Amino acid sequence: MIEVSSLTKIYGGLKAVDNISFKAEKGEILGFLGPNGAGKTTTMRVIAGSLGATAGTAKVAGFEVHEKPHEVKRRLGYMPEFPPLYNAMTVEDYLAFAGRIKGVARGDRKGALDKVTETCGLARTRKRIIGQLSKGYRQRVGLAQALIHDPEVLVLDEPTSGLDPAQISEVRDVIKGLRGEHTVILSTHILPEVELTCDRVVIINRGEIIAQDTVKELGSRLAARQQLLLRVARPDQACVETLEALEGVTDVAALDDGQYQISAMDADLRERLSTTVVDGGWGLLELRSKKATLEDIYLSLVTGREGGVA
Amino acid sequence: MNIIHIARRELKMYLTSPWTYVVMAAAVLFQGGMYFASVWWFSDLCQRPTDGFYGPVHLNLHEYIVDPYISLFHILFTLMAPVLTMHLIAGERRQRSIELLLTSPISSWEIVLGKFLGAMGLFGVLLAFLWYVPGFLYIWGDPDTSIMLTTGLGLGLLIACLVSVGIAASSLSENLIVSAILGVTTLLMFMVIDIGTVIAQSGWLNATMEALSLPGHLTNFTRGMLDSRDIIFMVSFSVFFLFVAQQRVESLRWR
Repeated sequence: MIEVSSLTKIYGGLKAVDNISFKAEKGEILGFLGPNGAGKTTTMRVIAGSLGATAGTAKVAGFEVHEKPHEVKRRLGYMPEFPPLYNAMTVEDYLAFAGRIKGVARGDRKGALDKVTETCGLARTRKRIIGQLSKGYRQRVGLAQALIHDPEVLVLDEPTSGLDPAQISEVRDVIKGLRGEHTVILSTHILPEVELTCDRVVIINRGEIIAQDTVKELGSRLAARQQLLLRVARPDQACVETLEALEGVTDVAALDDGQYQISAMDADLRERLSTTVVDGGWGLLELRSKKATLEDIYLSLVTGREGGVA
Repeated sequence: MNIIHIARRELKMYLTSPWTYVVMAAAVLFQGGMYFASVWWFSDLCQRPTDGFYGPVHLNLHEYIVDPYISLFHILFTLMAPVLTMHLIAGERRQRSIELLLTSPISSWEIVLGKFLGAMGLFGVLLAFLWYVPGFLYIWGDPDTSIMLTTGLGLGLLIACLVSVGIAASSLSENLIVSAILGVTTLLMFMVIDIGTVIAQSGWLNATMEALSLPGHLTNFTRGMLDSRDIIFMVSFSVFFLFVAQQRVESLRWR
């Protein structure tokens, strides 16, 4: 549905996006993850057609954004990080205008307006002036604007930024509700957001893609290497040596407070470890396996630490 | 159709903004005062003996009332048009709302022409407040309808020129004040350029300056003459500045 190939964007000597390629299949939610300034917004603006690429192509629904901009825009809803709102208009008037210029047929306009105000929780705010709305509501109007023409593809740039926790979960529910019918690209630097809403992740840093996979795959990539956290009452050197000698243990790092971080091969070592510690008389206080979260993967990728799962 | 949507929105925004009414009220007051003064002056002239100091005076309603009145319009609108149009593109860029237009299936021409028509509509509303100007002339005078029509056409074309420059200026800067100043200075230049013809008395420079003068092209209209050169000049003048704005909007998609 969305196909970006070898996309490069240079702003006066600065490479904001460097030769990136990725795809989003129909009906999936693709998370676009990266720190600030990684090139997320630039990439999204190129896909949405408000910015030209220096090199490379982006295709939406089979149409190249530069060659067939109108075909693409008819099928695409874009919500920039700062929603493009007219402060002097009412929510209703604004969305009606957005519907008109996005090519919603005259007869469908009222229905489309009712539907998006309902979806985005704006039903009671329709007559309000946009300039007087709170940040959360402005964000919703921005989302409604992107949805008004029922596009096949949605490009959402940090849709939950600036919202309170309740609003965040509401917006996430709206986005999850789009799965299946719509293809969504969603940029964020909030990791749980990707884990909660996305099917696949593209991680981007300094204009380059450093990983792309399904959320599951990325998780299991590191889960293969198990991390265990062990805490004993009486730590000493013999304890470390005994643990290191255990079969399957690859590394033992002593942390403070009698804690050890143990890296192991895939087998679950918890039982063997607990027996060893108890038998050795070191006093087992705590033993748990640390699951690699997306955050670990993300941090290790972005900061470039090889396998550094903290 | 998209042009109409954009024009309608712009006109609605104008008509719901209190500032528009402040500006319009000031313009109507000023134009009304000037109208009163010129009618007063004309009626005073009419009550004098017909043979004046320089021989018989042929008093002409158009020459004494309509002509100066249109010149006043020119001065007033030169200052007003850039102020009323400065937000059209600059404001959208500052508010970032332009991204809605840029990511909708509409062309840069549709955006620029929509805004142009919206602003023209505002001037239409403003002129509607001045209905009494030709009205009183018809009630108590005997104006030449064909001259009134050509004058109206000239005024319309003049406003198109002023609005086009305003929109071009608005597209060039993200700052409203800079846009307005840019627009006013550009328009003033085209208003006073024929002063230069006094210095360069003949030759190509003289001809060029004369050809570029906006008031110079307006004169024929107020005298009842439809010269294709004037129409072509004013239309191409507007098209040129709208083209500048269109190119600028198009370039926003690339930066």
